Amino acid sequence: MTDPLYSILIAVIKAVIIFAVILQIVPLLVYFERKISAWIQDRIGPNRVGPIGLLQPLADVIKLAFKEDLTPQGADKWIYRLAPVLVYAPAVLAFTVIPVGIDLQVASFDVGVVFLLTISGFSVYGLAFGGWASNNKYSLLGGLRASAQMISYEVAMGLSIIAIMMTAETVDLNEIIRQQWGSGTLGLLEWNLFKQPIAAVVFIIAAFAETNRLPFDLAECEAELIGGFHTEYTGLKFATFFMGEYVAMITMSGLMVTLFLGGWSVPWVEIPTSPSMVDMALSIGFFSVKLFALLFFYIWIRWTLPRFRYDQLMGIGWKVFIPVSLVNLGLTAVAGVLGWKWLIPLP
Amino acid sequence: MANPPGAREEKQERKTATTDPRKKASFTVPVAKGLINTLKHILRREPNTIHYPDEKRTPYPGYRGEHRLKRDELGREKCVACFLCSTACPAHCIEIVAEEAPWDDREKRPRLFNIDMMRCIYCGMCEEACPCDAIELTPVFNIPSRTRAEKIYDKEKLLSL
Amino acid sequence: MANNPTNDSAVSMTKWQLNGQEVENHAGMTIMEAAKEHGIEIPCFCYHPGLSIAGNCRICMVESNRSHKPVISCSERIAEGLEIETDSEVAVDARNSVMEFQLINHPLDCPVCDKSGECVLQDHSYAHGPDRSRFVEDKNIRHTKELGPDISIWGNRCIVCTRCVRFCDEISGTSELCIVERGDRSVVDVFPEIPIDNQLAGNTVDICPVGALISHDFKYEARVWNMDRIDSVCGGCSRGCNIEVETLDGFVKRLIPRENLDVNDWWMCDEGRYGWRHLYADDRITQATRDGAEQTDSAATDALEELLSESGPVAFLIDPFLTCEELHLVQGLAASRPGSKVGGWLPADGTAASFPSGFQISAAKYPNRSGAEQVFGDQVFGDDAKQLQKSLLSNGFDTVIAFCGGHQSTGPGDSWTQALANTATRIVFSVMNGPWLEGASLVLPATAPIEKEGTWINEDGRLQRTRSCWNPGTDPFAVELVRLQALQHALGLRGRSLSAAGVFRELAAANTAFSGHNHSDLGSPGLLLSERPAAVASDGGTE
Repeated sequence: MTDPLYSILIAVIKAVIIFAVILQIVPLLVYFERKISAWIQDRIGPNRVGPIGLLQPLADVIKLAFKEDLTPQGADKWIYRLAPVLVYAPAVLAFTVIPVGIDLQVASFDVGVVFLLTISGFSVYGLAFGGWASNNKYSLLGGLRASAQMISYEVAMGLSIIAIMMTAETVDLNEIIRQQWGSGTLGLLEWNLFKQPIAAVVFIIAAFAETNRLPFDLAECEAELIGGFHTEYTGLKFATFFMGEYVAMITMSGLMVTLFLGGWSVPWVEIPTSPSMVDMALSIGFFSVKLFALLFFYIWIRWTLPRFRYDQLMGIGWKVFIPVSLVNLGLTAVAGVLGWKWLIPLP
Repeated sequence: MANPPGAREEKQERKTATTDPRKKASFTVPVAKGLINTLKHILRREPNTIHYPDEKRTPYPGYRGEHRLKRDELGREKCVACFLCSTACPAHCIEIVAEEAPWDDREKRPRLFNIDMMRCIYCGMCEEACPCDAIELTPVFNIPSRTRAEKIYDKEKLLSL
Repeated sequence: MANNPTNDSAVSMTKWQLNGQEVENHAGMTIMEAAKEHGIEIPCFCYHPGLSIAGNCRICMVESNRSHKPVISCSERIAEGLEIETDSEVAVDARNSVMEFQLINHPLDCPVCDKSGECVLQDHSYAHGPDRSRFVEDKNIRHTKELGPDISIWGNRCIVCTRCVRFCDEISGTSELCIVERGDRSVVDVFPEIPIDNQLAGNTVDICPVGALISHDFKYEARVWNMDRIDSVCGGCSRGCNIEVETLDGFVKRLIPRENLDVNDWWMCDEGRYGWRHLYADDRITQATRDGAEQTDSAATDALEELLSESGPVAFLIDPFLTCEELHLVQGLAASRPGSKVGGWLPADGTAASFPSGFQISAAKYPNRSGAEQVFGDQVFGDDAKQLQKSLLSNGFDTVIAFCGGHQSTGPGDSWTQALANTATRIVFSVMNGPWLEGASLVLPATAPIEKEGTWINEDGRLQRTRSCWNPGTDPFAVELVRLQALQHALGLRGRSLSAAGVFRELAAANTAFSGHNHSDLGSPGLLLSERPAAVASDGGTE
C-alpha cells in the first residue's frame, strides 16, 4: 500500500479513466445540446446517424478530422497552434481535483479550490492567443472580449468561493462535501446552495461567463464577430477549441456540484465510516446525476436567452455581482460570528 | 367617461416602465418566464418539422418546381419555338434554337431547348409567357444530380418528364 | 420657335396649325412629313419615304378643317390656314377602326413570325389596336409560297400595303411583284414562272411592315429583340452602303441597310446582304501559325517582331480592304525601313449595276481603294504594284508582309502568289485559307470587312466610319489594328496603342488629305473627303 510505485500506478489509472470519461462526456453533451435545442425549437434534431442519432457527434468528429487544416496568412504560427491546447488543457487539468466519488479524485490536494481557480484562469490565455494569432480583426476583438470578461467574472466567482471557504473553514473539497452531507429528512438543506444562496447564484452566473456560454458568449458572438477568437480555426484545431469549451463546462458544473450541491454526498443516509463498493458507486451516481442536471441547465439557458450586450455584461459583472458578493462576504462573517449555520435563518 | 383618464394613466405607467433604466436592468422575471416557456417546449415535444427524405410533404397547388415540356394529343411537342419563355425569363436560363417543323399545322419547332436548372429561379414567368401552353412547372422539387451537366435539361429530358 | 432651323428664305414657307399650334413648314410637304418635323409621328403602313405615295392603308388619317371626313396625312399636303388634329376624337377613332380592320384577317401568329419585334403592325396594334376582335367569322386563308430563291410570302399576314410592289416598280425597276385577287383576298404574288430574284430583292423584306415577306436566309434564325445591332459599312463594293450588322450572342445573323441619303438611300444589294457567311466558313483562318505550327496570339505578335527585327528592307503588299487606319500603320512601318516598298493587289472586277432609283452597285468589289491611294499615292495599285511584283520575282526582298483580306477567297491571284513564293520570309495576314499561304513563314488571322473598326473611302471620295461586330471566334486583340500597333511598339516606333479613332487622329495629322477630319465629326452619313468640317474651313484650311 505504501509502495510509491503502487500509488503512482493508481494515480495514472485514475487519470486515464477520468480523462477518458470526460472525453466521452463531450460528444454526449454535444448530442444532448443538439437534441434539446431541437426540442426547444420544435424540431426533431439529429436522428439519422446511428440509433436516434446517437452517432451524430462521431460523424461530426470525422467530418472535422477530414477538413482542411488552414493557417491564415500572416498568422503567428506557433501561438496559433498553441491556443487551442491552452484552452483545452487547463479545463481537463482542473477536473483532476474534483472528487467524483467518496474521496475519489485524480489528485488529492488540500488546496483543491485554489488550484482549480488558478488552473481554470489559464484558459483565458488560449482565447486571447487564438484571437491575437489569427491575424483577423474579428478574432482579435473576440480574444479581447474573452479576456476582459473572464477577468471581470473571476473576481465575483472568487468572492463567492471565499464565502464557501469561510462557511466551511477549509479549502479541501472532500471536506467541503462532507460538511454538506445531511442524513435527515431535510438532509438536502445541508447543501451550500441553501447555506449560501447568494454565493450560489453569483457563482453559477459567473460560471456561465467563465465558460463563454450564452448568454455571455460575447467572445464568439457569431452575429457580430463571426465566431470571434475561433473564426480562422478549422478542422481539428477548431475541434480542440470546441472540446475545450465543453470540458470547461463539465469542470465548472463539477465544481458547482462540489461546492453547492453536496458533491458526491448521498443524501438521507449516514456517512459510511469505511465505504463499500456500493457506497462508492452510489456516490459516483449521485455526482453524475447532479452534474448532468447542471449541464442540462447550461443547455437550457443557452437556448432560452439571447446574448447580452457587452456593456450589460460588464455592468452586471462589476456593478451587481462584485458588490453583492462583497455584501455576502460581510453577511457570512456576521453569521459566522453569530454561529448561524444558514445565511438565511432556516429551522 | 370614467375610463379614459385611468386608461391614459395606465398607458403612461407602462411607458415609463419600459423606458425606466432601473427597471431595464432587472432580468430575473423575463429570464424565469423564458425558461418556463422553453421547458414547456421540451416537455411537450411536438415537432413542426418532418423526417424529410422518409416523409414527403405534398406541395401546395401552384407550387413551382421542375419544368417539363408538354406534348399534344399526337405526341408531338407543343412548343413552337417562339422564344417568349426565354424572353420572359429573368434569369436567362432558357436556350432555344428553332428549326422548321415537319408538320403542316405549324411552322417552327425547337431543335434545341435547354433549361439551365441551376440558373433558373423557378419564377414561372416562362409558363406565364407561353402562348401554346407548352411549358409547365411541375410540383417536383427534389431534383438533385451528381454533375452540373445533368442540371442542364435538354429537349428530350424536358419532354420525358 | 417651332420652325425648322434649316429653313431657307428662298423656299416659300407655309403657315398651318398642328394640334392647335401655329407651325411653319416648307410649302408642298405632306402633313405626315411636316408633322414629323415638329415631333409628331403619325402611324403609317404603306408610306415609305423612298417610295411613291399609295395611300391605301388609311392608318394615317387625321382630322382636317378642310374636309368633313378625316384625311390621309401621307398624301394630303399642307396649305395656308390648314388646321390638323392628330389626336382628336375623330382621328383616334379613325385610326382605331382602321387597326381593327387590319387585324380582322391577320393571323396574329406573332409568336412564330420572324417579323415580330420589328413589326409595324405589332407596334401600331399596341398603340391603337383593340385588345380583342369582334370578328367572329373565319379568317381568310391566303397563299404561303416561295416568291423567289430568297423570299417567301405568308399571304395571311399581308396587309396589302403594296410597299414591295412599288419597290420592284420604282427602285429595282424589275416589276416582278403584283397584287392578285380582289378585296380581302388580295395578296402579293409573282407572275407565273418569273420569280423575284433581282439584285435588290432582299429590301422588300425590310420594307414589309408585317411578316408577309420573309427572307429564307433569316427565317427562324433569331428573334429580332434578342439581337445586337452595330452601325457598319458594307465592304462588298466601293459604294460603301451603310448597313446594320445584327448579331446574336456575337454571331452575325443578318445585315440590313441603314439610311444614308448620300450613298444608298434605304437600300442595299443582295450580294452585300448575304455576303457574310464566309465569316464562319471552315477555311477561315482563325489561328496564327508559324511554319505550320499553331501559335498563341501573343506568341504570333512576338514572332512578327522577331522576323521583322532581323530583316532589312521589307516589301508590303496591301489590299483594298484595309481601313485607312490600318494603312497608316503599314505606312509607319514602311517608312521606318529605308528601301521598303509598298504595292497593292486588287481583286478581279465584278459586274456593276445601276437601278432606276439611282441606286448603284460598283464593279470594284472592295471598299477602300481610294483610301489606299490617299495614303500611299495614286500608283499604289498601278506602277508601284508592278515594280513591287517585279522586284519580288527577282528576289529583291528577303521579307514580305502581305495582306490578303477581303470576303472573297480568291486571294491576290496567281501572279502575286508566285511573286510571294519567291521571298524567303513571308508574313501573310489572311482571312481565308488558300494557295497564297503555302509555305508562308507566319500566317496571321485577318479581319473580314465587317469585323473592321475604322474608316473607308468609297468611290465618291466619301469618308465613312465602320464599326466592328464582335466575333466570338476571333480574339479582339488579334485584329490588325492592334497587332500592327503592338509591332510598332515592339520596334520602338510607338509609345502606346490607340483606338481606331486615335490612329485616325495621327493619320489626319500626317496626311493632308485627311487633315481636319476625325471620327466623331464623320457622323453616321460620313463626309466627302473634299468637304472640310466647318471649324477647319474657317481656319483657312491646312492644305
